[in-house]
Amino acid sequence: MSKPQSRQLTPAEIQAFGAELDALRARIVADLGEPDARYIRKIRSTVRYSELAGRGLLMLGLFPPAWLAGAATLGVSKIIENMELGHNVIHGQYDWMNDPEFRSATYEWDNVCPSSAWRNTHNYVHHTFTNVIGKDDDIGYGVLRIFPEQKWHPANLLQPVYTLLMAVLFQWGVGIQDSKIDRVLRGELKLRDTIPDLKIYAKKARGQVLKDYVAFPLLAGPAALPVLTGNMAANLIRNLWAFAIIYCGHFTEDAEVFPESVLENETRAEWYLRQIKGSSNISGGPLFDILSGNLSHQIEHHLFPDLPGRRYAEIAVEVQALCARYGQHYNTGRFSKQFFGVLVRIFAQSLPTQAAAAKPAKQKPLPKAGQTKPAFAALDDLAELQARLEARLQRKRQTYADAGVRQPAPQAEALVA
Amino acid sequence: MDILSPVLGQLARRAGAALRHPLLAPLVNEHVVDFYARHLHPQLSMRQVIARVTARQAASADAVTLHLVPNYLWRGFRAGQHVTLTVEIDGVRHHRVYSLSAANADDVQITVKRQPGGLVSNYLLDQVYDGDYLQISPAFGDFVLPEPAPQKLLLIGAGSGMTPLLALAEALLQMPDYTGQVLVLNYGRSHEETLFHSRLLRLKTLHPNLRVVYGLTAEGVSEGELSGRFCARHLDELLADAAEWQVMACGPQGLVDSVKALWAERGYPLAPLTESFTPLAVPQATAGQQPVALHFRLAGRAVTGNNQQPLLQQAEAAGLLPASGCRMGICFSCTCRKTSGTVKNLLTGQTSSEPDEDIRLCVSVPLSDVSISL
Repeated sequence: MSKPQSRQLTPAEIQAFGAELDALRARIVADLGEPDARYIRKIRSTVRYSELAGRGLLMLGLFPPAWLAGAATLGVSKIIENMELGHNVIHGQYDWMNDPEFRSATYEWDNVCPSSAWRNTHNYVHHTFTNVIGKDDDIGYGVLRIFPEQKWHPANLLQPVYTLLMAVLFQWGVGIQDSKIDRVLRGELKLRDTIPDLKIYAKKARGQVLKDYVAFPLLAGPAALPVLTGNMAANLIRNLWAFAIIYCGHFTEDAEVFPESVLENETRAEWYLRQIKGSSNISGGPLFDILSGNLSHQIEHHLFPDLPGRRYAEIAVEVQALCARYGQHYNTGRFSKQFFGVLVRIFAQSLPTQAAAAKPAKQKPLPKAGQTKPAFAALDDLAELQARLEARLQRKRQTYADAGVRQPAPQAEALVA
Repeated sequence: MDILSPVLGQLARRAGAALRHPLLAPLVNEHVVDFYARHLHPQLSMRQVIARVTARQAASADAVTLHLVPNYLWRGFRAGQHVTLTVEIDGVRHHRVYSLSAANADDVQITVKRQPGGLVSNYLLDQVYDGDYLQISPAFGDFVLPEPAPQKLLLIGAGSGMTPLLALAEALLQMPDYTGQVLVLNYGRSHEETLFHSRLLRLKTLHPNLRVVYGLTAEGVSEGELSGRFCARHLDELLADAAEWQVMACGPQGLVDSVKALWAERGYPLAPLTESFTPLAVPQATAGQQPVALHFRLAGRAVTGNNQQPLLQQAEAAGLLPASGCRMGICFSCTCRKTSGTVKNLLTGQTSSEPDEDIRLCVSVPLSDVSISL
């Protein structure tokens, strides 16, 4: 298995790298405004209209083509609601609008996972301790062995089967994650410790079941059965898609994991680097960006989880150039390539191997002579890259000067030399 | 479809109430309902009072009165009360409190004075026209006429502080058998900038028991006008029996403070009723501060704060973006559940240690370690 190829940075370089990302963030924050508000409302409207259309078509579901179109439309509607609207709103990406409809603290998405549980397991635990073994539950969700650094257990032999189950029941798995039921099953926690969380989960799940599997079928009268099965199909479509996108976020071939020791005295700049090394992007066009909730830019999302997802595409151009300049691997690829890498890991790690110690990034040895080619490939193109970057910075400065905004600190060039 | 007609309005109100029924509530998302409702009529909403601007009228050289027709959720108001108005500017929602400047329940109007550099006042003056829709809150506030109606009422206002006073004067003078005296002291920088010249003149013609005196702070005055800010001399020039008058004052903090001080100094029996729209002076962290641990539960953040500044400011300093509005304790936009700890209310000076109580972040200062649902 090829290992990610990132150059070892000096502390001063790491600090400068972080400062550039901070400056990038500040520029985007200063630029947020009406176009971002208009965008998220357009997404909201798309969700509402497509849900109405999907549910409407399912009411005519006794006619098979209508059922098919209805289930597909509702499935896509749920995908956009969960990914581009819900996930991003709950991250607080639109809190600056001060609009109660898009407020992270109160937004409740169309998913059996309670938003409050998601804010804890995802926004807090996963985004803070990304890919740190023992801290980030999202590494295999407490069930799968994804990395050789994780301990093997005979139960891992069956993990291709668990993966299939998790894909089909994705929203249910995500929902129960906060109650740490996996740790109860392993005897690490008592069942009663998880009861308050299970109650919150049950309440949310009851509402969702009531809506999709009782209320709407009843409303449909004679078409109750097609509506019921259509809603099931829509939820399944959303589950499979969300599973695929999310597993591509951190389990791809080149994704790295870290031992807990990296957290000691970790600076913000080091945290940025860990986010980049632990996350992977999927290349695709604007439609793919929307359907993936902009998790196609997982790296940018992990660097700036609270900036509007629609900004990640423009941020990605700069982050990719930054990574190239600093010799850091930027993990991206087609969906098929990234997803295949994930499946390979799931199958490969189901078999027993000695648990490899996760190496702290800081003490990583310098690449051996034979391996330097890919690691420093980026440096070969340095001159060309520098020229491109200079031209872009020049354009940016002009834009900022035109808009009367203070120019970003041009600390980038000095470091490359 | 006239959603404001009594029949349809009643129907819409009932539909909204039905959707809030405990049996339906888990299935009903207010934002989804409002999204579809807006397509039927811009003023149709489950919970929000949406008002249509029906007329604009100059109230002075730099102020405009907006006449509003609210939807069926409007519950009326008492003269002297205000509303919180919400406008969106460059994607960001802003809240401001405006007094209602008329006494007649059928005439909902606010008067907006241009504030130099003021985001919302400039927007309302330059961008809002007849036919636009504005979101307002229900009327609130206790700056209203005392019971029984005072026989001698002195209204002292400065700048936009005149807006509730005009409503109060109209309300009292329009009472069917009112025979008492009303004196209005209207302060401003210049003639052009003092509000409601024509409205007050018309009111005076209808009610001879109203007297209006202008006070100018930045312009020469003519016969019968006062020069400079409100002071004891102004009061003595106008009223020999000031002790018998009920005073109501509204304006900048300085005006309200000097009225209160004068009344206290002279020991007049009727306590002044006052209102000031100046935002609270937010205390800055000082040398005597103590660190407190702040736990923002929903954000999963624990930070070290201090016991000097409001929680809103400290949460923002910690990088959170809580919902906020007036930042002076009146609009309740920043209301948040405190699960433990002691806070002091800057408005009342009261401290409270109740677990699970709702507090307004903008006027609550933590005195101990505090945990809030933010």
